[in-house]
Amino acid sequence: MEAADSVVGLFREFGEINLVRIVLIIAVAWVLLVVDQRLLPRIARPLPGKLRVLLLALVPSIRLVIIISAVVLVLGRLLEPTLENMVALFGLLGIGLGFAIKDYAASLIAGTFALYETPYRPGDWITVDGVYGEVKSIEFRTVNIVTPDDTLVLIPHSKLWDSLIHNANSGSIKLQCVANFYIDPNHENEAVRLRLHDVALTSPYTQLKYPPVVVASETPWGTHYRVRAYPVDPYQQFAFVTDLTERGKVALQELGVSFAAAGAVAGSGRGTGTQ
Amino acid sequence: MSTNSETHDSLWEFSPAGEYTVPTEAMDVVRVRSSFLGFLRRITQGEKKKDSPLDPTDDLLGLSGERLTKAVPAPDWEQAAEFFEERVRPWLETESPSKAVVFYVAPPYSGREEILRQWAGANKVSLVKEPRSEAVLGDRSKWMRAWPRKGPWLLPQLERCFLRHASGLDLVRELLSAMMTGELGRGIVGCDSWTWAYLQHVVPARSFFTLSSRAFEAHHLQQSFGESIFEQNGLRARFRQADNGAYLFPARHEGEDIDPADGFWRGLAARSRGNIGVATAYWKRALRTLPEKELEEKELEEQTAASSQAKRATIWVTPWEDLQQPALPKGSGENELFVLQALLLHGGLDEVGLKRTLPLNQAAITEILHFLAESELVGLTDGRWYVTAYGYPTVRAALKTNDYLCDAF
Repeated sequence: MEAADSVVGLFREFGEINLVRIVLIIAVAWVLLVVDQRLLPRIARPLPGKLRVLLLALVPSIRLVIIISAVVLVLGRLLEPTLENMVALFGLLGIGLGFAIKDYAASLIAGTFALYETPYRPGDWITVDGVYGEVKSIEFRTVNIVTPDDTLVLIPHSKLWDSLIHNANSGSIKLQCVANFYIDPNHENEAVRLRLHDVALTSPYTQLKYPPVVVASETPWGTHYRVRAYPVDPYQQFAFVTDLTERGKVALQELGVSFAAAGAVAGSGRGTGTQ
Repeated sequence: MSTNSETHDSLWEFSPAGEYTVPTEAMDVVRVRSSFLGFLRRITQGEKKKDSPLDPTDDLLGLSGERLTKAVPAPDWEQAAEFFEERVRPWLETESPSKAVVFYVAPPYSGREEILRQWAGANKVSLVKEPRSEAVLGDRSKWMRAWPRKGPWLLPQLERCFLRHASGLDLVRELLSAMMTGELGRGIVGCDSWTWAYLQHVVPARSFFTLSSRAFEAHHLQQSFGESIFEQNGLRARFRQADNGAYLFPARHEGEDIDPADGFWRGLAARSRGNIGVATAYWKRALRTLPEKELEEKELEEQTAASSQAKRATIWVTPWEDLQQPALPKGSGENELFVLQALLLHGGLDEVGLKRTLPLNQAAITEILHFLAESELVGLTDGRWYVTAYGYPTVRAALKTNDYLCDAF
C-alpha cells in the first residue's frame, strides 16, 4: 500500500497536469516520426550510393532523438521534477527494464549500437541465425530483411550481442558468389580449373572488375572446385550462380570429366550468399 | 570558337590508344550550359523570336535520301589511310622492331575497319580472313595454318576471333600469344574498343603497342562536315541553325559576313564522344529543309532581299539540344543490357552467336532484338545485329550507369 502511494506520489495532482500540451507533444512527435520514416527514405532512394546509405542510416537515429525528446517532455509535465522523484522514477524504470521488458530494452540499445557500428545497412545482404536476405529497413527494435523467397523476417537487434552476423556486401555492391563443382578425382586438374575460369569470365553476369578465382580441394567423394566471382549487381546473385553452374557443367562434360556421385547433386550451385 | 590554326589542322591523327581523350568538354557541362541558355532564351523569348528567320509555323522536313547522301558524304577514308600509313611507315621500315604487331583499337563507327582496309589495299598488305565459328569454338589449326607467311599482314577485326563462351577464348589466347612472341611475323590488328576492354581480362595485353585515331573535337567536326557542303544545280547549300538562324560554317568567300555558331558543334562532339560515325548519324538527323513549295517562295524572297553572290539552298539544322536521342524502351531490364553488351563486345553478332553467349532462349533473344530495333538502338545488316551509331551513346551510357564493362573510349 505504501509502495503504491509512493508511486502515485511521483505524479502531479491531476488538476496540475496540462493534458492539452501532452497531447500536442505526442502529436508533434508522431508527425516528426512519420516525416523521418517516410519522407527521408523517399528523399534518400534516388541519391547515389554512399550518400543514400548515409541518409538511410540517419533514419533510426533521428527517430531515437524524437522519441527520447517526447518522453522527456511528457514526463516533465506528468511528474514533479524533484531529485527524489527522479531517483524513484529511474529506480522503477530499472526494475521494469530488468524484469518485464529487458529483451525489448536490449534490442533498443543494440539498435542504437547498430546505428554507429553499422554491421548492416539497407541494401546489405546478411545472414543471421541461418536466415539470409536483403536488409530492407532498420527499425527501432528490429532489422527487417526480405529473404530470396520473398518472406519478410524481423530480426531483433539484440542478436548483435550473441549471434554471428554475416554481411555479404557490407555497404557496397561487391558480393561474392560461389558455384561448387564436385568431380571424380581422376581428371586433369589444370584443364578443369582453366575451363571453369573461362566459364566465369564468359558469364554476362560477371563483374570483371574483380577477377574470378577457381580453387580446388580434395574431399572424400571427389575433387571440390569452387568458382568465386562477383555479379554486376547483388540482385543477380542467384541467376549468376545458376548460370555458372549450368554452363560449368556443360563445359566440364565437353572436357569429358565425370562428376562425383551423390555429393555433386547435393552441393553444386549454392552461393555463399545463400548458405 | 576556333582559331585558324585549329580549324585547319589535320582531321586524322594516330597516337597510342592510352593517350585517347574524349572531347574536352564533357557532356554534362554542355548540358548544363545548354539548359541555362535555354532558360534564358525562354524568359526572353519574345525578343529572341525575331532572330529566327523561320516562321514558327514552318514545318521542316528531314532531307530526302539523295540530298542527304550529297550533303553528308562518307568521310575521306583514303586521306585517313594516308595519315595511318605515315604513322606506321617508320615501324614497317624498321628491320627488327621491338613489337611485331601493332593494334589499332578504336570504338565502333570510328572508321577503323574502313581505314585499315583502305590502307591494306593501297599498300598490298595480305588480308587475314576472319575465322569461321567452328574455328573459334573448336579446331583452329586449319585457320592458323592459313596465316600469311610473308608480312606485313592485316587482321582487320580481332572481334571476330573470339566468342564470349567457355570454349570461345582459346583461339584468341593462342593468337595473342603468338603475336606477342613474334611467331606470326609483322602485322597490324584492328580491334574494337569493346573487344579490347574485354580481352584485357582474358589475356592481359600490357606489352602490346596500340594505336588509335584521335577523337574529333568540335572544330574537327565542323571542319569535317564543312568540307562536304554540296553544290548542286548552282545551289551551294548553307547550313543555319533552325532556332536562331546562326550559321554553322564560317564564310567561304570574301565579303561574306558570317560568324558561325559553335554551340552546336560542342554539343555534337560531347554527345558523340568525338566519334565521327556517331556524330555523322546525329548530323544527318539534324538536317532539315522546308517543304518544296515553301522552299521556292523563301528562296525567291531571300534572293530579292539579299545581295548574295549566288543562289543558295538553305539547310536548317536542328539545335543539338533538340536532337532526339533514343532512350532504352520502357520495360528494358537486365536481358536487354545483356544483348546490347554482347553486340558491342563482339562488334555485332548473329542470333546464333547471341544464343551461344547469353543465358536466354532463342525466342527471347529474337523478341529483345526486335524490341530494341523499334527504338533504333540495334539494326540488322548482312545477318548480323549491331548497335546503331544513333543508339550508341544511349547504349554506352546505360551500360556504364549499370556498372557493366565499358570501353575506354
